Parts: sequence; structure tokens; C-alpha cells
Amino acid sequence: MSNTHSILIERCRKGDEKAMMRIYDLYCQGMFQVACRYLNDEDAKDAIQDSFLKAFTKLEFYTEQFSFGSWLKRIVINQCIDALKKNKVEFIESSQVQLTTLTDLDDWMFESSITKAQIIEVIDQLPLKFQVVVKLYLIEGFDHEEIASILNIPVKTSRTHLFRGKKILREQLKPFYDEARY
Amino acid sequence: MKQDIRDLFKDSHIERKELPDQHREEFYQKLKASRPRRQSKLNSRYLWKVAIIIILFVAFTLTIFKTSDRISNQVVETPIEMQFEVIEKQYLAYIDREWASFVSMADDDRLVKRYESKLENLSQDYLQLNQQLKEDPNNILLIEALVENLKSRLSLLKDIQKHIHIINQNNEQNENNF
Repeated sequence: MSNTHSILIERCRKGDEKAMMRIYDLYCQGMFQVACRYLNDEDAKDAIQDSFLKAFTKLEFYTEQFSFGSWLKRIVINQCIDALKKNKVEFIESSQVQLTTLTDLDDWMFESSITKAQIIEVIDQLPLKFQVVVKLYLIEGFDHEEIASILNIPVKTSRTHLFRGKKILREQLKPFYDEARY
Repeated sequence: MKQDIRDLFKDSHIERKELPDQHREEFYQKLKASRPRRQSKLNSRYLWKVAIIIILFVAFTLTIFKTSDRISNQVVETPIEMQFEVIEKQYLAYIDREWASFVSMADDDRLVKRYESKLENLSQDYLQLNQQLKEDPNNILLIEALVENLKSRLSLLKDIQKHIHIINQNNEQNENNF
């Protein structure tokens, strides 16, 4: 991270509002893109703004071993998940499905004719509890331990959600395969 | 052909969602609103400090002015008469106080009368000197004489009070002896 960036963060630590606005300007667009994957535009805006405020009060916990962007992103995602939970989204599953095999779990091979836009469109249609796990895994690139701690669920649940999400994803994407075939 | 769709998401993707127009102002308001408590605490503590420093400074300068007025009348650059007036006022107030204390202390009318006339004489002298000073202002000798006059009135009163005090003490002792 560049030196000016660390200086900016140091100034934020000391309560410099101008520096805080600079940080906001630098990261707001990127963070808004992240938040929009989980919330509607209006809620996403509120979530990122609250995340920035939270980040500024917790700056003493930030260490330069992570990039500031990824640290901030984690806060934004937590904020989004909290907002979802407020809307009574349950991430805990009562009935556990039997997972087939480990290879099944790690199989993300899809027809190459499928585009990213199509995938995202289908992900957005998934039931929320699967949808969030799929997004955290696929788009944000978190592993199951991280997802489990973000959602406050057992790692096992994270795995089953992802598995079931992927299953639905495959089914929903079937029409696109066929379309491509003809 | 198959692809691992995880690879699709590895590179950052360009989905351009635009923040609403007023988001920056809105955030600035939120930022301001989130910080006042701590700031006002700091501010009030800071204001208290400043206020105390100002009060101490004013008190300090006032005492310096007063003492310097009393001690030397050359330091401050006000006209000599004005400086003298201040000294005169202080002395006269002091003399009045001592006079009142003397009158309340002394139970001998004759003594009080005698001292009254003594002070009256000094006061007459004082008026004469004052008259001369008006004709010849800035005459340091005249001013010194005036101060001397005030001083002797004061010491007159102080001495007699001391005297009375000693006599009273002796009387008390004598009474106790009997």
C-alpha cells in the first residue's frame, strides 16, 4: 500500500474528517458494487455508509498486513449480512442434506457457453440463504471458514448451502445450455 | 466444452452501479452526526482549560498592576497625577479604616479628640501641599511630601492602636492578678 495511503489512514485515526472523506471517495464506488450484490441500491448505500463510519471507529484494529480495501470489504459484507438478517433471513438450515461426495462439492465445471452475466442473473434468483453463500464463495472468494464466521453458522452448513445452491444453479442454467446447443 | 465458473469471477468484474447523486453530502452529514459527542466533550474540556488560563492571566496581571502601582509610580506610563490619585485613594481608605478601628477601640473621649485634631492638622497641611502641587505639577518633592503626610497619619493611628492594645493587655493581666 502506498505511503500516502497509510498517511491518510493515520490521519483518519486521529479523527481528521477531511482524510475520512478522502477514504470515502476512494472506496465508495467499489464498496457500493459489493453491497449491491446483497441489497437493493438504497439499502446498499446505507450499508456502505454505515460501514465506513464503523471502519473509522475501529481503525485501531486495522493492521497493514491486509489491504485496507479487503478489510473494509469484510466490514461492508458483515453490514450487508446484518441488514439481511434484520429482514429475517435465516441462514441456519434445520434439515441437513446428505452430501454426496467430496468431488461433487468441488465440481464447478459448467458449460463454457454460459456467460458470467447469465450466472449472476440465476444466482440472484436463488433462495437468499443459498444465494448469499454462493456469492460469498464464488464472487467474493471467501472460503468456508470465512463464510461460516461472517454468517455465524457452522462450516458444515456453509458447505451444504453452497452445494444446494450450486445444484439449483445447474438446474436453472440448463435452458441456457440447450439454447446454446441449437 | 466445460469451464470452471470460479475462474470467471477471479478477475474483478465490471458491473457499474452508480451511487445516488447526493450520497457524498449524505455521508458527510452522517460522519458529522456520528462524531459530535466525542468532539463536544473534547471541546468543553478545551474551553474550560482556556477559560481557566484566561482567568488566571487576568488575575495575575491585575495583581501585578496593583502591586506595581503601590510600589513604583514610574513603571506605568500614566500621568503622574493619575498615579498619585490612585495611591492617595488607597491611603485615605486605609486611614479611614484605621480611624474607625481606633475609635471603636478607644474608650477615652479625650484621646479620640486629641487624635482627631492631630489628623485634622495633618489634613490641613495636606490640602495646602495639594494646592501647591496644582500650581507646580510634576514636582516630585511635593508628591513625596504628600505621601509622607499620608504615611504619618497612618502610622499615628497604628501606633496609638498598638499602644491601646498593650495597655488593654496589661489591664487584663492586672485584673487576672487580683
